[in-house]
Amino acid sequence: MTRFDRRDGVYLAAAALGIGGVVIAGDAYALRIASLVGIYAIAAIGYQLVFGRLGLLSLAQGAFFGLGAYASALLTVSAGLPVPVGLAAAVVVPALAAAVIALPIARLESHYVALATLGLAQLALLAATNLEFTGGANGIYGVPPIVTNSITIGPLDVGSVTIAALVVPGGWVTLISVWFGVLAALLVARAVTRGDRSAVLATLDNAPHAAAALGLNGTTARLVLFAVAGGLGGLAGGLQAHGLGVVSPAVVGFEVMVTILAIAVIGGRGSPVGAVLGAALLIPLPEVFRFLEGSYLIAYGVVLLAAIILMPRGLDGWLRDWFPRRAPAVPAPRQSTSKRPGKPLVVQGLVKRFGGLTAVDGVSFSVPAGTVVGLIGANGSGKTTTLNLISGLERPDAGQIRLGGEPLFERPAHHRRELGLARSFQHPEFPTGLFVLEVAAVAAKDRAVAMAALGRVGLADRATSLVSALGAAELRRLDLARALAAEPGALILDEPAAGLTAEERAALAVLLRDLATAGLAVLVVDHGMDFLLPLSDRIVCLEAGKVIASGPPETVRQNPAVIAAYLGSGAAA
Amino acid sequence: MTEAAVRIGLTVEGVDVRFAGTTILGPVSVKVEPGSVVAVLGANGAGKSTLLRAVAGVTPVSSGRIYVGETEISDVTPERRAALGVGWCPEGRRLFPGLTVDETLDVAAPGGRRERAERIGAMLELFPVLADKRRETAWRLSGGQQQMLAIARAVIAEPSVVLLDEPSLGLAPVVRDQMFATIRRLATSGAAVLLAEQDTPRALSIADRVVVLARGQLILDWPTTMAVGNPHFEQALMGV
Amino acid sequence: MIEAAAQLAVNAVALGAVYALVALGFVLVIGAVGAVNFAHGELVMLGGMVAVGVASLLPADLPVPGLLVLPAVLAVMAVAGLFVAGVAYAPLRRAPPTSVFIATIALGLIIQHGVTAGIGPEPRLGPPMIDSGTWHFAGIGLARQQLATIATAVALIVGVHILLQRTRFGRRLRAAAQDSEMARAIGIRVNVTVAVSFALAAALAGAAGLLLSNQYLVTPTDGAMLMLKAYVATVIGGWGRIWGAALGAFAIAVFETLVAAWTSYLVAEALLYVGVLAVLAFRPKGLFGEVEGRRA
Repeated sequence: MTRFDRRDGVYLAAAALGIGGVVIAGDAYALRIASLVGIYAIAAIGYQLVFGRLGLLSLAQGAFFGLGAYASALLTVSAGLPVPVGLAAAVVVPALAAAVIALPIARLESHYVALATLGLAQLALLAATNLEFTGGANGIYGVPPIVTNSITIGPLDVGSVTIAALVVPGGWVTLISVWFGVLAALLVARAVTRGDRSAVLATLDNAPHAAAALGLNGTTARLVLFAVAGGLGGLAGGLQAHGLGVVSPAVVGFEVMVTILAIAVIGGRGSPVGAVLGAALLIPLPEVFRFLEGSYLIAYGVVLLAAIILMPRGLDGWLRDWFPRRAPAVPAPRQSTSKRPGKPLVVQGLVKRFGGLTAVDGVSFSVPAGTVVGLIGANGSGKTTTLNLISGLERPDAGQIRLGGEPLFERPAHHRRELGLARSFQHPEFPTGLFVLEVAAVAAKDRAVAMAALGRVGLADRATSLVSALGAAELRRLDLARALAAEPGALILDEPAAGLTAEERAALAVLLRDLATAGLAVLVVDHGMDFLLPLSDRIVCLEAGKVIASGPPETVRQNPAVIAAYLGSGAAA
Repeated sequence: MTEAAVRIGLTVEGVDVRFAGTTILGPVSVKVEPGSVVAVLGANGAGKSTLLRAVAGVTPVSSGRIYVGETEISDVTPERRAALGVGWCPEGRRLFPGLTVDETLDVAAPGGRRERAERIGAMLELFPVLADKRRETAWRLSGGQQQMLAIARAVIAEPSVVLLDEPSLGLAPVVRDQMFATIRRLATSGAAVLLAEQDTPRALSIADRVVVLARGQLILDWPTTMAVGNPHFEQALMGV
Repeated sequence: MIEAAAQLAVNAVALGAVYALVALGFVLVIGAVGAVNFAHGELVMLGGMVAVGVASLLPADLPVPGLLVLPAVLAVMAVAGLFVAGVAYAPLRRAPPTSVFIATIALGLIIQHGVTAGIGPEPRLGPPMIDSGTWHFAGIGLARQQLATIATAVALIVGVHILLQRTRFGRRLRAAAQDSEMARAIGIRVNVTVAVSFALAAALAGAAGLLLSNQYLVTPTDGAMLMLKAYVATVIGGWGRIWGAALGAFAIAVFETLVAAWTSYLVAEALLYVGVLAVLAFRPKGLFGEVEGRRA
């Protein structure tokens, strides 16, 4: 983790180039542009958290920018408070506003996220333009600059040598303050997405069903990321207000939002450092296209369009192709010491209807701790629906599910991990761009436990591979490892053996048997009778949503109703 | 159907479908003679739907060849395959919810207005349950009626190859009997029918050949007469 | 008093009919490709500008200048729609819908600022549909201009309705919008239906631009507000439901006209956004849910 990432070398070189350029140009104009780059970089770093990490196309970041600008301007101009207080308010006010809207926005269908945030931005624009205390269309004049004058350091007497006084002109002070802000923004963004949080966010965004079954709760993450995004947007707005000395409704306008969006896309969706690079490329563009005058946004439009079509992962994604992310360090595997005891799973009278169809019709069975129960039945007999009800992805219309005596009924899916339930999927979902160990650790106490889980499924030597390099059979094992790493008391598996070779199936059977011996309650749905019958202590057979047989494997296998159900209804087998 | 189409069969030669580097089907070779039904049996996830989707052209194949009669269609778009005589009735029916029975049949029928009307008339004869529901939107039909409509949509162009994916799913036994009888009639009129099915006894009752898939591999390809009552067949089917 | 109320009602219906045209095009593209066309409002504005340009080529004293300009606007804008499809959709067919969304944001910027750079930011006056004056019904005088606007918009909406509901091509277009893979499997060329949807959407946007350009003038910055109203209409009418969105847009215009007459346009606009946010807060799938939910 602490090893040097060669991609960061490229960013450092770019930064050195930028600093060199500004020093050589050295005039007030260059300083202003460089400050503006920093201001937009801060706003875009914040935006990356919502747009890139939460995967929400929010169009409210411009409004937070404006909110910060107005908050700081009003406090310093109208209330006469010092600039640092204004800037603090520029962070806090938009951060609170963002936290308030975070949860309602995050639960919207993706195509309405943009509308809702645009509506909020539009309301903010109407308020800025029409309210009295915001100064209406004229805005607020005379916002005090961050520093009024040059700052003089020295002269210093070091022993007998006197170092001449160093005079730092005001423009440089502003520039340095802004870029300290950029640095702070990068550190904050890194802190809120550090380590396994990054994997959790990616799972919530790209693999929502897996996230729910693993008990990942997105609420806190969404609140924090929205608030930080709002706060950084506001800080940028506040810095701009003090830099320009004026705040007008234009700071709330769509141009600011589009600029931030373009920076985020060009820099590389989700990458805070990419946002800095994107700002450095995009903000000076209007100077290049000066002949377009006010219509420099054409240039932004062209660049944005080209980027989304030709380089959808942005500059940072492109750099990643050249300098791949370093694999995480592999800890020694460790079985958790506080091993959770096995928990019996009891299902009673479960009913689920879809429209007129009753998919699950009064299903009852139990999985005692330390046993493997196989659930069989023809396609459409209600097996997967039963699993979805147990894991909380669907809500039952009637019936009760108990885990270790605790009723699960009406508990949301993400509570079930804490209660000790984990599941694997027939078609598992995984977040993209992560290493196997990171994926496995997403619901684990720590990476050492995740490493032990990878070892159990035989993926220990793949811990530092990218998930995208795994084949389908390995992905199913990774799905199982991810569930095991949560240290469950009961485990449910949906067709774990489908698509595996004979040897892989044998190894899986041994693993599941071991887990049961260790005390877990294991419920397995599968079609492969050669796999399931020797493995299971009991078999439950479903047909048309009802249990038609249950008992030891040999008894169930001889049951005429089961044979008929498998060979089709009415078979005289 | 108005008249038996030119007798053209389906040939699948060594087709395999890979996804993210993993083979999910095949290589599989199947031949369906014109006027016959081949039942594809096997567990959930064995690759039945994938085989049918590959023939319909909605899932790309990684290698192998597919022929309708003498014409190779392996690299051809789904819409072109439809024109060349492939009709696909997918799993879960996938009707167009906003369209009525008449409209659904009309968008799928080739030819001019008069010809389309004739074809729709022929379909309503073949599927009498739809005749008094012509102006009903698809999502208001019962499960059985929806399935009939989905099959009618697949065969209204009189395709020489008909692909039916689990047409009996969720239907009452009486409706199943009617539907299998209709499928047999399609074959009798000259079509090559590839039928993926879970209801083994009914599938066997109308099929000329039966193939069993397991984990994407073809493990058995027998005439139906050989399969019925054969313990090896039942074992293959149960995966034991 | 009665005359004022009647005129207000006519104004509301006229604006509603035009908004319905805008929303119709917006939702056609949503249906065809599952993505929002953020540049749709810019297409309305562009249609207004095309109308201004074409009208300037005509002699000054024609009786129905707007009506003569209409076919040219429809044709030019249909081509513009194909261009939008080619630039902002075709290269991103396999990308997630957000990519199309962002590409159309970019395209909207290019159109808006391209027009500004080309002909300047000033508002421009479009051709009237018919010469000014009033018609009298039962002693009530009503502006002919508004009535002509209503007649034109209604004619276009009826035309689209006939195309989509009564013609085979329209049904095939709807089928492709509902399930494009299935549509291809029964022989529908989905590339064609998508292209036509974009062309039709832009043509309707252009017609709306023409109808707005005389009474409200046309300014390069008009687009965003119009797109936003069409977007709001999908919340009221149901995501992807063509006629629901058109009705939703009509309702928005009536609401706006009446509230503006009662208080001010500003209050009307603010209330509209507050209302939409309230709907989304309590019904995250929109007022009437989604059309896909009913898939058979």
